[in-house]
Amino acid sequence: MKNFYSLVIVFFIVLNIQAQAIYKTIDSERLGEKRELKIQLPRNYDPDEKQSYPLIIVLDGDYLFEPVAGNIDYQSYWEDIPDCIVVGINQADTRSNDLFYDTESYFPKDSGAQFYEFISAELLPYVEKNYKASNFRIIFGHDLSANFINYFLFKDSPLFRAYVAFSPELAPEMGTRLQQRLSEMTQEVFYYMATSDADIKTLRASTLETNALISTIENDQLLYKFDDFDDANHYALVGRGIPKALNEIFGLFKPINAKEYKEKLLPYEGLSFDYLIKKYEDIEHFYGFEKKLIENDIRAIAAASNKKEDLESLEKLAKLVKKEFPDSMLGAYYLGMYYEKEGNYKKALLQYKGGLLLQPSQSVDKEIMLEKMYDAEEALNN
Amino acid sequence: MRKTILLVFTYLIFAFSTAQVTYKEISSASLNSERKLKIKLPKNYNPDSDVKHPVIIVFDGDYLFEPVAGQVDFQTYFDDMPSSIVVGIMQGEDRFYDAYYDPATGLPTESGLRFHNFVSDELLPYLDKEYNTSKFRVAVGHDRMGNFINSYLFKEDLSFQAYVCISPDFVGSLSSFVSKRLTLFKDDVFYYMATSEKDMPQIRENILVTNDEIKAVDNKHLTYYFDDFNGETHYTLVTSAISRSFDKIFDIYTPLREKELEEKVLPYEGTLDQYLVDRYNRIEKLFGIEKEISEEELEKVAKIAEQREDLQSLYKLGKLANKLHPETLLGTYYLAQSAERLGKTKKAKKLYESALVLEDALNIDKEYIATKIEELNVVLVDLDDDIDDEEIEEDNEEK
Repeated sequence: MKNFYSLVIVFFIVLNIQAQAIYKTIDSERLGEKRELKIQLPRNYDPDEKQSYPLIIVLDGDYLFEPVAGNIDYQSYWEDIPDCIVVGINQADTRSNDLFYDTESYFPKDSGAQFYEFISAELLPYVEKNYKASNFRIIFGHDLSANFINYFLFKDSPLFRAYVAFSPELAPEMGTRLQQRLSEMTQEVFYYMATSDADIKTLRASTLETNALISTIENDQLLYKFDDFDDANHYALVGRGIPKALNEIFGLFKPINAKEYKEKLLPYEGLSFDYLIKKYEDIEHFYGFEKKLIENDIRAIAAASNKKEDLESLEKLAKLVKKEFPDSMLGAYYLGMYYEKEGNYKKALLQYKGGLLLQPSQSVDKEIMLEKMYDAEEALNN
Repeated sequence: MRKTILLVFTYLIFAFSTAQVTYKEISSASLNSERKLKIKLPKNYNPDSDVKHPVIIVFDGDYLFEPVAGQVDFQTYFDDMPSSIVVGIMQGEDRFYDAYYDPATGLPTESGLRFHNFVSDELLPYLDKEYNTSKFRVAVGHDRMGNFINSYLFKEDLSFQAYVCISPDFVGSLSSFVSKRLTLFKDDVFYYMATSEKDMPQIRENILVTNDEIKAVDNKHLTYYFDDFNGETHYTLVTSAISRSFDKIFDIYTPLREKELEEKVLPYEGTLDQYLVDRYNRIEKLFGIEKEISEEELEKVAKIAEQREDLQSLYKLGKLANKLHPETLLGTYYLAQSAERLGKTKKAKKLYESALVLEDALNIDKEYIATKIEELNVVLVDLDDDIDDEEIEEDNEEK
């Protein structure tokens, strides 16, 4: 029996590691019926951790969930974006009712109003109760559902921080309403919209018109990006647009790249270490969730510290790494490097030797540690 | 205790029937070890049906499988590609050895060669045995594995018909052999390659040179696409590249849409039934899949025929529709229409009448046909034209 249990446990773990989509049915009072959801949690999602994750709501989940979830899984694997919780709402059988709007006011009415209420008053609380979702929420829509996502903007405090509209089939007057609403936003809002050369003609025309309106907006709080893809139709533009939209939304989150290193980190007047802390604080302030320290950024800060002979930063960085990753060689590697620069080879050697017993990281392995150790020994003997 | 088991059992079934990704291990004689696979079968896959599916092999399945599977799901939903079997090979820590190459040629050697053989001689036959596979296979590789998949180009029998090389890390002389090899193909081959503005400089440089060489290849059997993505890195370019390449690989499979109708169907020289038939023959030849010409597509093309006032095409589309969908009145309706336009009113009327015993078409029902007949009755009162009854019978006999 014991064996049996461990088998079951293994099975669960495997499921989690592989970012398997979960299928749930939620009972909705507002809709008076059940609704199918598709949910993808981050790989290695742990409900007991204090970490929370951005929440992505995908309308038309029947077909839009999988490509969004695939993109999220891939990009977060490489730490280009944070891990996210993705929730798709299936609408295949109810689509036109769900997305229904009034023919005079052009706002959701009857079944459309119910669907709106379902998302704001039932779905979001449900997801927040059951999963570790942060307040940073993104909503995706395509075609008619890309019109619907806009209605959430018109709440006094909008429920979503980022809106992704692929080839929207906009209700009358939506273009001018969007222009007005987006220009008066007082909290940062991301708005992404896309069409393509072979898009459905009427949709392309109204999307281009709306783009012209939104482009005139002067508001620092609006982060707007528009794409007009070549050689793509109404559907192909979705696959092209998803990575673009995510790139835009998580631009600030991205690892320190060569450009940022050269143009911002090196010329930074304070300690390189303080640059790192400030960057991570900004991210937390902006997105409302904490970014975990990643190795790419550690290496960038270390490189800058070395280049500017900023030993204080190197020491602080090494200590932070030791604290954040106590089992990794990485902390010992940088602390050793610090002592070596300081000329204290004895202490450096101790660090490198101690580090050998720890876990290798992406960039530092046993061989590198051994090499560092021999160098330090040699320096000590001379 | 029993309850626990039952609960677990239910959970297993639930996980199995909804999330279509299954995890398998295959033991390999070439590798002398087990290898983990991620497999996603088409929605509603039925092992007993005759329907065949292309196979997509995703190297570095650890991280590359999910975005490919997501793209395939999306594209299949709109019938923009045939429903396919996606197989990801988990490589994890073996990656380095799997991709092991000869530094001079860039081709796999030792452990790399064993992995090469595992895929072509063990994995592909295994999949063909287990599942309803068509003869069309796609290989997707990134970085080192983007270099690796090129090794299959040099086999006599092509293991793969489409190659998606995403920021391939070309080694040795391999890249210059690729363009030479692509020149020689006598069967259709699809080749896609991508780099990006912020790709790793050495990799990018090799790719750009290779692109120039492949672009110069003059071979009608080669379909080649290249992308250089703005602002993307060696990693972020991947999902854009997947989306682009899959759109292009299955380009001719997609349903007829606005753009094709305007740019290809409208100016087509010859009758439009021929356009449709050729189109579907190409699909069958390329993907090994029989796709049916839908009523909707016949209607779209018939509209174009009307637009170019092409009564002969309309007539032939009618014949084609009768052959493909004999149960509905669509074909007979087109035949009747072309007769009516030609002024053969009596013949048209007879055809309309014979349509009344058939089933409604998508957008044309018997009620509409009945009004057509009445219209013609009015016209016929004043007319006394000779019609060739044999001609009508001949048209209907062919059904």
